[in-house]
Amino acid sequence: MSKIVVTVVGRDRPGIVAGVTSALAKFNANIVKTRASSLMDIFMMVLVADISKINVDLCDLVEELKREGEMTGLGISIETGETYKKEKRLIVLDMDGTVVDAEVIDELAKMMGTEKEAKAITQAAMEGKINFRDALNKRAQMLKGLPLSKMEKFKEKLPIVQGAHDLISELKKAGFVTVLMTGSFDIIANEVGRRLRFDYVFSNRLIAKDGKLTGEVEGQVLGAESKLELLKSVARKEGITLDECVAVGDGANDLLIIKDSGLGIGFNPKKVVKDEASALVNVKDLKVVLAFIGSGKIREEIKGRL
Amino acid sequence: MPKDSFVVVTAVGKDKPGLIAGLSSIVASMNGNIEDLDQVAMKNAIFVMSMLINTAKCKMPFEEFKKILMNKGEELGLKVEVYDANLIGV
Repeated sequence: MSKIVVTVVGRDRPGIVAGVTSALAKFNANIVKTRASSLMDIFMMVLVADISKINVDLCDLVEELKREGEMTGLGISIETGETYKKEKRLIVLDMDGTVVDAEVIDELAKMMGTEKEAKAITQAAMEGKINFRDALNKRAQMLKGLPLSKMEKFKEKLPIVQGAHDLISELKKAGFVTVLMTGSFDIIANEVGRRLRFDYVFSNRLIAKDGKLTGEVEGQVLGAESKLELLKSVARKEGITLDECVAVGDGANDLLIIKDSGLGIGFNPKKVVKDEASALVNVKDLKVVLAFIGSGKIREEIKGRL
Repeated sequence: MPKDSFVVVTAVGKDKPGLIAGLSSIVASMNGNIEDLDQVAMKNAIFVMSMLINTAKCKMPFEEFKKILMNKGEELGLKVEVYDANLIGV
C-alpha cells in the first residue's frame, strides 16, 4: 500500500483541517492516521494518507495540497512514506533569502550605488534565466573598490531570518550535520556560519587587496550542479546518504539539492523551486522546518502507520 | 473577545475517504476551530476519531451545534457523540 505523510503548519483558524482533508478526499486519498493540535496560536497537523486508490496522478494531488498549504499561511510538507521513514541526519541551507533575509550581493552593491543593476542580475540568476558564473562575475565586478571596513559594518547588522538560531541549535542537539551553502560571498557567509555555528560553510571568495575589493571572485559554488556536488561530497565524508538530507532554499541554484535530498524545502521560494519542492514554507520563520523534520513520539507513531 | 468554550466530538464507523473532510468542513462552516484531533483507521477498516473544538466564535447554541454534527455523522455512516466539554470539567 503506498502512503504519503502530510505535515501542515498554520496560524490557528477555522478551516485548516477542512481544507487539507477535503483536498485529499476529492482525489480519493484515504487518511489512515491523523495527529493534530494547536499550541499558542500555531496549529500543526501530521497525517498519513493511503494513496493506492487515488483517481489522479500523485503530482496533481501534491499540487492541490501545496495550494492548500499556501492558504494556511505557514507551510506544508508532502513526503512519501519511504522518504519519511528515513531518519534525517544532515541539513543544508542556502543563505541569501533563506538564512539571511536579504540578497547580500544586492545590499553590497547598494553601497557602491549599483544596486539596480545588481538586483536585475540577481533576480535573473535566482529564476534560472542566466548562467550563474556570469552573474557572479558581473556582480563582483560592481563591488570593485568597496572598502572592507564597509563590509565589516554590514556584517554587524546582518538580518538573520527569524527562527534560524532555534533551527540550527535544535538540529545540532539532535546530532545533525549542518551546512551553509551559498553562491554569495565568503566574508558574509563565514560570519553567518560562525554566529549560527554551522559545521560547514561553502561560499565564493571575494578577492581583496590593500583593504579594498578588487572585483575578482574565486568561485566554488556556481549554480545548482555545483551545490549538489558539494552536498554529495560532504554527505559522503560524513557517511550520510542523500535521502537522509534535508535541503532548504529559495532560488534556482538550490533546485537540485532540493530535488535530490530526502526532504527538499522551498523557503518562500521562486516559482522554479516551488514547483519541485516537496515542502513549502510560506512565512519568514525557519522554525517551521523543525515541524517538517519532526521528532520524538509523534514521528514514531506516524512511522508505525507506514 | 468571546469566552472560550469547547466541544468534544467522537466518531466511529466504517472507514472510507472523506470522513474527516466531511466532519471538519461542517465544523468550519459553523466557525468552530479544531484545536486537537486524533484519528486512526484501525485494521485499515474502522474509523475512530476524537476532536476538540473551540466554539467561542460559534453563533449557535450547543444543542443546535450538536444536532448539525450528528446529522452529518449519520450521513457519513458514523456513530457520532458530541459533548459539551464545560460539563466534563474543561
